[in-house]
Amino acid sequence: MRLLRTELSRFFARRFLHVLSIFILLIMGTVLAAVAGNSTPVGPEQYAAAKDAAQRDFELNKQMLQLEYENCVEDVTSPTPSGTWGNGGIEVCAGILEKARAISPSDPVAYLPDQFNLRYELDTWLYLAALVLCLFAFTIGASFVGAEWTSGGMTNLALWYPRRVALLATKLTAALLGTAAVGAAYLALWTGGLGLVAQWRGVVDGATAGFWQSTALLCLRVLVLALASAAIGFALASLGRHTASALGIGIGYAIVVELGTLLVFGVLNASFPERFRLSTYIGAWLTQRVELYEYDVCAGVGPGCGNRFYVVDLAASSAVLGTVVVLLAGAALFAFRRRDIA
Amino acid sequence: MAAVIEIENLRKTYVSLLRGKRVALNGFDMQVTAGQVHGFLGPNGSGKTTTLRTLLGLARADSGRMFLFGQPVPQALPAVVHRFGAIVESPQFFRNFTGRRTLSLLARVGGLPDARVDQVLELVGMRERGDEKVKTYSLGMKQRLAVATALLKSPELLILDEPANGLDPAGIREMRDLVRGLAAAGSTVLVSSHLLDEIEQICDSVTIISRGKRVAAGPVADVLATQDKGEHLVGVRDDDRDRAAELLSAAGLSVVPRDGRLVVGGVSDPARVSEVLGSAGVWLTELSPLTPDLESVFLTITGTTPEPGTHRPVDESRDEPWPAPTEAPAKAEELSQ
Repeated sequence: MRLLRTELSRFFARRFLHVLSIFILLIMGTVLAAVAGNSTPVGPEQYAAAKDAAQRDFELNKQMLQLEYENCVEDVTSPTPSGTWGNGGIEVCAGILEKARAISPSDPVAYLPDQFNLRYELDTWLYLAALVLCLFAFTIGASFVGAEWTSGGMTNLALWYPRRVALLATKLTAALLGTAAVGAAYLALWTGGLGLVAQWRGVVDGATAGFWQSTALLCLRVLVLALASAAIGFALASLGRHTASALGIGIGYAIVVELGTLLVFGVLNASFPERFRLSTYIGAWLTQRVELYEYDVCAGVGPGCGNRFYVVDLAASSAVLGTVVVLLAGAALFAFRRRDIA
Repeated sequence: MAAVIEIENLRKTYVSLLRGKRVALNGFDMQVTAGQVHGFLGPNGSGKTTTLRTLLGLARADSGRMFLFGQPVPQALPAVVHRFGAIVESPQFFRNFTGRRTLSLLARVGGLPDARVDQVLELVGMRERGDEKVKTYSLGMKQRLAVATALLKSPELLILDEPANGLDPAGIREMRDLVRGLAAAGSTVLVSSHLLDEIEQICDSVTIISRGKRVAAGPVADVLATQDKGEHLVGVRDDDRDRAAELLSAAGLSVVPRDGRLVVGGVSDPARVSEVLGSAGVWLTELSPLTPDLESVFLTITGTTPEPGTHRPVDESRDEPWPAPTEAPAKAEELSQ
């Protein structure tokens, strides 16, 4: 427990954490400012003006159709019709008249400027928050142990705390607890900030208790994903004994696996290559369900042809992501127990 | 006196995919008894730091037995960790932490009061600089901070790997006084260093390692005595020098001229030199024993005496030329961590 408290203290004292925290706060501030800037507040006057504009357009359209009808009748009943209206005769003109009678004024909302709608847009911005938070957690997790290796701190710690597995497990726990605290605060700020922007310059209609419950569950899944990222970063840096090794593997994975699988399986004409990418399972974890499609597999001819689907649900994504985290963390602990320090 | 450190037949091999197998320790033995200041000497690459790292659980031994305070290590390290303090190799710290924070974090891990941090900062002369960031410290100050980390636990055993590294002359003297003070207070100190005159001044006993094996061990005086050939420096008037050499040779002593004087070997009693020359009317202007110092003994034992015009390679361990261990205890067993 003493070691855990010490490691937590070390976690929060690190300048790298402070710098990265400021960086992700700047990202959040930029996003909130952009959302607020693109959302124009709408009052009764703006709504009335939009309604008038809709009515004006409606009247104009109606007049134009009426004029078109009159031109049509005049043309088709003349001794020398121009043929502009085809060979349908007066019935074509009746269709135009029918159209003129059927149109109605447009919804004034279409005449209002863009507004941020919390109910429909919060999820999208929380996915962006998840991306930022996961990159942050991966880097922080990696550097928390990577810096110990490169600074000689691991030797110092091992001289004071020779139970190796317990030492690394405690460091990992501290990294996860610290990341959870920072992540929870970040998500609260992000969600709260968007809520304030919606109240100030957008629309909060429809933000019911059910909506907030669903948002809370999404935030929880984002937080768990951030913890998984931190654990993976920590494990990779511990195995490679350097923060850069985790970052290198992360970038290498993104290029080789995430892009490579699509190219290779595309060439091999394999089914659903996306199922071999971790990003698919990350997406499913956040959205609870990802459906992969293969359209019109054999041009709709013969049995088994047509569209095919591959569904990744929450259970599948949690199994895959959990397995990756457990395997990497286990490998890091096993290696740390066996290998020479320094 | 009880042995605080015991190492028997320690073997350690480094295996690298690129560089192959390198034997760092080849049946090394060492014993340090309680209350001693024990010097640990050896050329670069001889296995000193590997020995300390293996003893302290930072590296895994291939085989052999090690004990700290009578307890087998690394298995029993958690039980004895509070009784020793150590610095190994060039210690490094988080650059953006202050010296005080660095020590406080370690003190917290060890369950020590913060007051102890102030005490050790005072002990190593860092009280005024403790609140500055490590990145502002010189090499010598980092070394002092490292020694402070080793002293935090008020250890019964202090293991210092090159503690004078980077220290200025005053710092080296302070370190010497510190080690002496700790020994006087009853602590056992194991010091690895290349400063042989320092080792000679402060150590009660030494172990010399070369190519992963112990080549000499025991009280400093005993180790020096192994290389004492009974040589004396004899001075006579210039006119008498050749005659004196003849007389001493005739008396069965070995004589080698050096820098206008004679180095006379095989002298069991200096009075014999005086007697041989005096009886022939040749009078001494100088007669002094040539007692070997630790440096000359070290260079001789480890075979690292510099030769003009040659560049001695670092004493790296190798696969081929190693003799089989001759003192391997039958009870040597595989160590596991």
